Amino acid sequence: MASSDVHVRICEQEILKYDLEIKALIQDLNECQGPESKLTELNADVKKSFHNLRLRIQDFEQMAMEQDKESEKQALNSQVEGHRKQMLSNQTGWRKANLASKLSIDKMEKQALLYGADSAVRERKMTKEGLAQTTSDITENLMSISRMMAQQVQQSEETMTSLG
Amino acid sequence: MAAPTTTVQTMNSLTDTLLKPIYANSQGMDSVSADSGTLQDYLLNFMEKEVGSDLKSLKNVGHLLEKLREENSVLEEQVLTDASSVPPKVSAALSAAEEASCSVEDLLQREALVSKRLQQHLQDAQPWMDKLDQTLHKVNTIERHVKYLRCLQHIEELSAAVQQCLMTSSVWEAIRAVDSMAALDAGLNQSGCSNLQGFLQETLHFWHKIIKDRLTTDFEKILIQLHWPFIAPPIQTLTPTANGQEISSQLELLVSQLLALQNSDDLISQRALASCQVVPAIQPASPAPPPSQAPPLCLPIQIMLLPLSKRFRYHFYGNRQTNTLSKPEWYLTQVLMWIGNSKTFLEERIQPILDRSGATTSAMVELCRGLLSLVQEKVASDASRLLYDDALFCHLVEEVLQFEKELRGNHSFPAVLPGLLHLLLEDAILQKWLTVEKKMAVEKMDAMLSSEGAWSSQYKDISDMDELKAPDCAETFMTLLQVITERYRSLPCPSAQLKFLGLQRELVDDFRIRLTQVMKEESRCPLGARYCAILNAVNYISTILGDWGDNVFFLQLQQAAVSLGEEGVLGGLGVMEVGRLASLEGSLFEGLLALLDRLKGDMMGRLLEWTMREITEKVRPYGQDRWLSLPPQQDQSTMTLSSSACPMMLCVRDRLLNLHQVLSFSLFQMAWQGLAERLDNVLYQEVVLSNHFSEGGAAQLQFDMTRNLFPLFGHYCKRPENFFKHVKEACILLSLSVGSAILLRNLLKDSMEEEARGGAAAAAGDPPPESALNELGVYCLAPCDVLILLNLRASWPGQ
Repeated sequence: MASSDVHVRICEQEILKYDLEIKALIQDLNECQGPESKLTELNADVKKSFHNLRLRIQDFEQMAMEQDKESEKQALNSQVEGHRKQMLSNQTGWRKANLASKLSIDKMEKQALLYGADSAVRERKMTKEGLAQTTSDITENLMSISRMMAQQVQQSEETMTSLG
Repeated sequence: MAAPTTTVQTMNSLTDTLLKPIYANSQGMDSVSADSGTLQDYLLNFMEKEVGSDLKSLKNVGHLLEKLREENSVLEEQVLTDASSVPPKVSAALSAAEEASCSVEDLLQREALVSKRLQQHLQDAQPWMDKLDQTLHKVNTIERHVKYLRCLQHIEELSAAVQQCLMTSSVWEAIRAVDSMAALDAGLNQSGCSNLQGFLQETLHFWHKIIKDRLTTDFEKILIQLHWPFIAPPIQTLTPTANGQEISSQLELLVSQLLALQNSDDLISQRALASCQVVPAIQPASPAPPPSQAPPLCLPIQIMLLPLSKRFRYHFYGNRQTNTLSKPEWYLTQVLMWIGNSKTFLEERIQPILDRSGATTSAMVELCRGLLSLVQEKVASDASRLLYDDALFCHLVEEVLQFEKELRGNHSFPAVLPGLLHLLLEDAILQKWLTVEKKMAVEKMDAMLSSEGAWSSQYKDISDMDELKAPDCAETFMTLLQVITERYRSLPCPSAQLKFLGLQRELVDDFRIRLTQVMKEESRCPLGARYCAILNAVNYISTILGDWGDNVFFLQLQQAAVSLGEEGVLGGLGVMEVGRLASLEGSLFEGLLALLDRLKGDMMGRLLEWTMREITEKVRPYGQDRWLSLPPQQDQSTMTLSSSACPMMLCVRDRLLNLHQVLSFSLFQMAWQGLAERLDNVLYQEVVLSNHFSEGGAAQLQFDMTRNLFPLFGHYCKRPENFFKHVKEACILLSLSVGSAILLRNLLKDSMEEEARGGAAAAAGDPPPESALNELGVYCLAPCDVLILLNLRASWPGQ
């Protein structure tokens, strides 16, 4: 069917898009020399992309089930297998890059501490960065809690209006 | 043309004779076979060159043979001989060899002569050598005596110099002299002159002590003036004190002098430690930890530490109220406060002086190190006494972790220097910690599983926030694991961390077993809320453990486990699995995930089984409806759902909605697809295959399915009918127009007979039956099934 073809194609394109996004992020991870916060940021992005990729592959699998012809269903299923394998190899690549860059950051920090005369200044800077990060984390948490509460209030308002 | 052929024949026979022996010897003689190969190549090239592909050039074979014969004879001359004479070349070689051996003998004779003369000479010279030896020996001894005395004189000079300098208060020179004494001492380290060494050491010690005491008292006076130690946070005085300038300069002087004294001080203190001569003034009750391998603190800081250390021992040792095992936070916080309070003073006044004198140490780090050694002693002794009290032990561990975090974080204590955590790695303490963690965790697990709201999700009312619909107990459990991770994350030893990881894996397994137990209790009503909550819990834990497998902290542990070959982690795993762990394809949680998946599969299966049981009961009356006798409907638009289908539809609709609400999203996907598959089978068996259908009956069935059942599932997918392929295609076949049905039946019958006769059905040029079926939209059912279905139609012409 023409319409499902379009959907299949779009889904495939999105899968490819997320797959390449992940590969690019893994490349960034490999080159990451920066502070640990940058590593955490990159990891969060990769996790998000993986999540999206998993959902898209599930959608693709469902599209396979929805095909009229058995032959097409088999074809799409084998493509799903292929996408899943790609995803697994991406996952292994991500783990390797993650580990490697964490080890290199640790090593650099250790060297800096052993040889750095201005380490005190750097440490103060890092503490300031750490403090800034903690403050922004706390603010984010507070914001999410207040959002949750606002949603609650709205829902109860709606309930009230529908009852009243 | 006879001649060329015979010549060729001769050449061939020659070649054969040449090659044959070579071939005969070619067993295992690679070089020879190579030779035969090259020989063949040579011959081939030769033939090509001379003859090529031009048959006419065979005329030249005669010339060729002549030429070869000549060459052959020349060679023969060189090698073959008459019986009498020796071939010239060989004889030349022989004579050359003879000449060489003659000259060698000659040389040997000459050599013998020369060496004899040499020996003679040496023998003659021997007595003179002996005499010379003795004299030189005497000279050496005298030289050494002179050195000794000179050394002694040097020491006395230095000693006098120090005395002079001290009397004239030129401390710098005194220190320099003491320094050179220390250098001399270090130089004499390997010497066997114990008396000299002893004398030097005593002298050094004597002068060093005098200078150090003088500097120490002066320094302490200055410190008191500067309000050291800062046991309360320093008050910023904006008005400079009257003699501020003088104090600063004196401070600078004293600190730099003390720094200059460092070498000799280190030497003396190390020697003291090594021989255990010095007993610390106030002995703590428990055995002190072994002397640190770390370099000793720099001298000014050592002196600055004295008042703090005195206060520490006063408050936290002995029979004071402040010295309690149950309140480790008192001394830990106290030390942190001291560090915090001293920060400004050290950074602004002491560090610049250190920098100016070229010392590469950081005053803050040194102070921390000094205070840490006090704390380490105390913690070590306390920990060993708390091994029998769980609650207090826990408290100590928590406080130590907290202290470490603050030390590294707020005070930027470098990660390469040991803090307190290595104390917790000591065997007995680590074991106790693990035991207590496990005990606490198990208690918490008991509590969380038996609490009121264990199986409800706390985000129940916030529907869009919660994809996983995790019940409270699962969330609490994962939080518990997370908290344990935070505790052992900063331990400096991977094998200790791996022990904690092992504990966490045990806990997950334990929780899984508990979940299985609760599930068995609920297994009689898998459609209930609690069963679904358990299923959600399993899914939730699987998801989070899957995430942890990607977490860099656990990846580091994974690598450490593989490289250390940890039995606790790798025991029981095959080579393949260890390889997967090493290449980061697998994760440490795979085993647990597999078990959880199996549980999930079991539970899902049971859930679907029970749901289908309910639904199947309701399908029966639908299957027993009067499909055969239904009149054909005049009008499509007035068709309604068969009343016998209503209970079944109601059941399916309600179940689907229920599952959608209680199950997490991914589980629900699994559930409705599983349900659809089973329902498809049941309907096909109980309704379609068990009945015959009139035209009206077929139409009604089609309506019921396509306009009622499939749209129920259309909520969750675009082509719900493709999840019911058997029913869908059966409907198509049952609702075929009579003409198409007859044609199809005939086509299928013919092709099946062809096949039965074993002939190639396609040979007749007919299209295969599958393409006919495909045209009608039937892809899943096989031709034999289709025939059966067609025979269920009741509306054949002539009936």
